[in-house]
Amino acid sequence: MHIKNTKDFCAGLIFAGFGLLAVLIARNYSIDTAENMGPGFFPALIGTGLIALGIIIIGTAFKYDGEALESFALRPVFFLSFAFAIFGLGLESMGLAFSIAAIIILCDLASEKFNFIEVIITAVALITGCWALFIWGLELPFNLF
Amino acid sequence: MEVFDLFANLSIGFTSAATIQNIGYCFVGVFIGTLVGVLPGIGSPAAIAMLLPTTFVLPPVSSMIMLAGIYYGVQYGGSTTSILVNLPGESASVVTCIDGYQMAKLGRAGPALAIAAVGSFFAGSVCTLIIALAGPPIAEFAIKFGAPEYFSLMVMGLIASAVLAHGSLLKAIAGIFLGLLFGIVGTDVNSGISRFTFGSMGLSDGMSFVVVSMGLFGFAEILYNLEKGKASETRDLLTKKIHGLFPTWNDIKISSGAIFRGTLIGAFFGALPGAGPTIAAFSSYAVEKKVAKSASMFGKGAIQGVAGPEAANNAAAMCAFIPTLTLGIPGSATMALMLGALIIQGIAPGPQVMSLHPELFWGLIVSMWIGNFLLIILNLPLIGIWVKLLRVPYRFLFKGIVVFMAIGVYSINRQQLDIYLTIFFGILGYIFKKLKCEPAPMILAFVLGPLMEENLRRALLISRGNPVVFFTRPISAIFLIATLLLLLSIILPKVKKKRVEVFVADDSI
Repeated sequence: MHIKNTKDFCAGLIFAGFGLLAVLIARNYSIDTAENMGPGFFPALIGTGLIALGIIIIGTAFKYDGEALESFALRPVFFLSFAFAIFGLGLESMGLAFSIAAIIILCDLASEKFNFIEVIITAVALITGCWALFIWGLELPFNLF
Repeated sequence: MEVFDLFANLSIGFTSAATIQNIGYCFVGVFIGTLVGVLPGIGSPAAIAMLLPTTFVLPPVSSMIMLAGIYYGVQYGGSTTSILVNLPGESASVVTCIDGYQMAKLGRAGPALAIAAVGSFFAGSVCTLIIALAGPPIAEFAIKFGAPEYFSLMVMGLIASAVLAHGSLLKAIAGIFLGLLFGIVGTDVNSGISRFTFGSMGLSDGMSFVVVSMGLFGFAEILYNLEKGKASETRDLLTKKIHGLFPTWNDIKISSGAIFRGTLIGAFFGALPGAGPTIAAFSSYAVEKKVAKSASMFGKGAIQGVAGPEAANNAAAMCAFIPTLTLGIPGSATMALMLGALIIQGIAPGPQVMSLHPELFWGLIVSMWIGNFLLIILNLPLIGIWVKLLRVPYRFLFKGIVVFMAIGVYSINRQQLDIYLTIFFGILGYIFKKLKCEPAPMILAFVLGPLMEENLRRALLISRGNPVVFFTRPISAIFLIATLLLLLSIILPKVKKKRVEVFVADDSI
C-alpha cells in the first residue's frame, strides 16, 4: 500500500495532529455534560472531529491519486519571518526607519536578488511614505528613529 | 407604507453617508480597492486585513464605509487588468480575461472597459436597492431566531463555504474545524478560565482576527509568490494606446441583456453564504454562452462575455452584505473581516443592527451607491495610471506590502506576540496553500467559533442536553436540511463535474 496523494496525506496528518493536541489539552478543562457544557466540551468535540477528519483524509490519500507534493522554498520563509520578527523587535528600541530598512534588506535576501541601489531607493521611498502616512497623517505613536 | 418606510430609511442613510468626511472615506476606500484589484499579488481579504487597524481610529460608520468601498472597488480594479493584461487581479476577474483580453487584442479595449464599468455600476445600483428593500424583512424574520436557529444557520453558512470552495470538501471541512479551534483560544466567557493560552497573557483575549487573516492570506500569499520566483518576473503589457472608449450601439444592445441577467445571478450568489463574486461571474459566463444567438464569438471577444460577468461579480459583492448585516452571518472571508471590524467597534451584528444603529446600516447602503458612482468616475479617466502601476515590478511591491502588514499588525496591541502569531499563520497558510487546503472556510470558522459555541451551549441548555432540539424547531431544521442537501449535491456525480468545470481559478475570494 503506498501513498497515492502525498498532499492529502500531509494535510490529514496536520489536521489530526491539531485535533489530538486539542483533545489532550481540553482534558484539563472540565467537560461536564451536554446539558451543562463545561469549558472543555466544545474543544473536545471539535478536536475529536478534527482527528476523525484527519484520519479519513489520510485514508483517501491511499485510495485516490493526486498531484505530487512540490518542495517548499525555505529561503523566503526564513528571511520573511526573520524580517517580520525584526520589525517588531526593532520598532520600539530602534525606530521605524530602522525596522523598515531591516525589512527591505531582508526581503531582498529572501528573493535572491540583491541590488544595492534598489534597496536604497526602496528604503527611502517607503520610509518617507510610511512616515507621511502613519506618523504624520494618522498620528500613530511610532518614533522614526 | 413600505415605500414610505424606504424613503425615510434612505434619508437617514443620506444624512449619514453624504457628509464630506464620509464621502471622502468612501473615495479613499474605492480608490484603494481599485488599486488592490489592479495589482495582482494582493487579494481582497489581505488588503482589508491590512487596512483594518487604520479604521479603528475612525467612527464606526466611516470605517465601514471605507472598508466596504475597498471591497467592491476591488471588483472594478480586477476587470481593468483582466482586459488589458490578461492578468486577473481578483479571482472573480478570471472570467473577464477570457473575452476581455481578446477584445483588447482586437483593439477594442476601450469599449470592453467601458461596458465593464457600466455593467458594474448598473449592478451596484440595483443591488443597493435590493439590499434596501430586502434587508428589513429579513431582519424582522431573523429576530425570531433563537440559539438553535443561529447555530444551525452558522453550520449551514460554514458548510456552504466549504462546498462552494475550490478543492477537496473534506479538507475544507477540516479547515473549518481547525478555524473553530483557533477561535476558541482565549478566555472562556462562561467559566472565566483561559483555554489554549499556554499561560500567555497576550493570548488571554484570544487571537486578533487581523493577525490570523494577515497571516493566512497576506503573509502566505507573499511566501507563495516568492517561491514561484515572482520577484524576478517581468510582465508583458498590451501597450497599444486605447482609442475610443465608447462602445457601439450594437455593443450596448447586446450587453444590456447580459448586464441584466448578470445582476440577477450575482444578487443570488452574493446573498448566499459561501458563494460570492467568483462563482457569480463564472455562472454568468456560462449563462450568456447558452443564451447567445451565436456562441461562436465566445472566447474570441464577445462583449457579453465581459458585460455579464462584470455585472454579476459586482452584484455579488454588494449583496454579500445582506447576510452579514441582517443576520450577522458572513458569507466569505472578506465578509468575516467586516463582521470582525463591526465587533471591534462595539456593534454586535445581527437583526438588531437595523433598529439599534440605523445610521450605520442605511448609511452603509447609501454609501454603496455613492461608491459605485465614484468608481465609474474614477475608473474611466484613470485607466492610464492603473496601467502604469502595473509596470511596477513585484519585487518592489511586496516589500511595501510586508511593511504595511507589519505596521498594521503591530499597531493592534503593540505586542511582539502578534508579530510571531502572524508569522505562524503565514507559514501555516503557506503550507496549506501547497497542500491545496482553502483558507477561506478557516477564517470564517475562526470568526464564528465563539458565537457557535455560545449558541450551542444555550440551545443544549434549553433542551436539557437533547440535540434533537435542532430538528424539532422548524427554522433550525430547514437550515440543517439545506446543509444536508448542499453536502449531497457535492456527492452527486453530475453536479460534481459541473463544480470542477466552474472552478478553474486558483484563489480565494
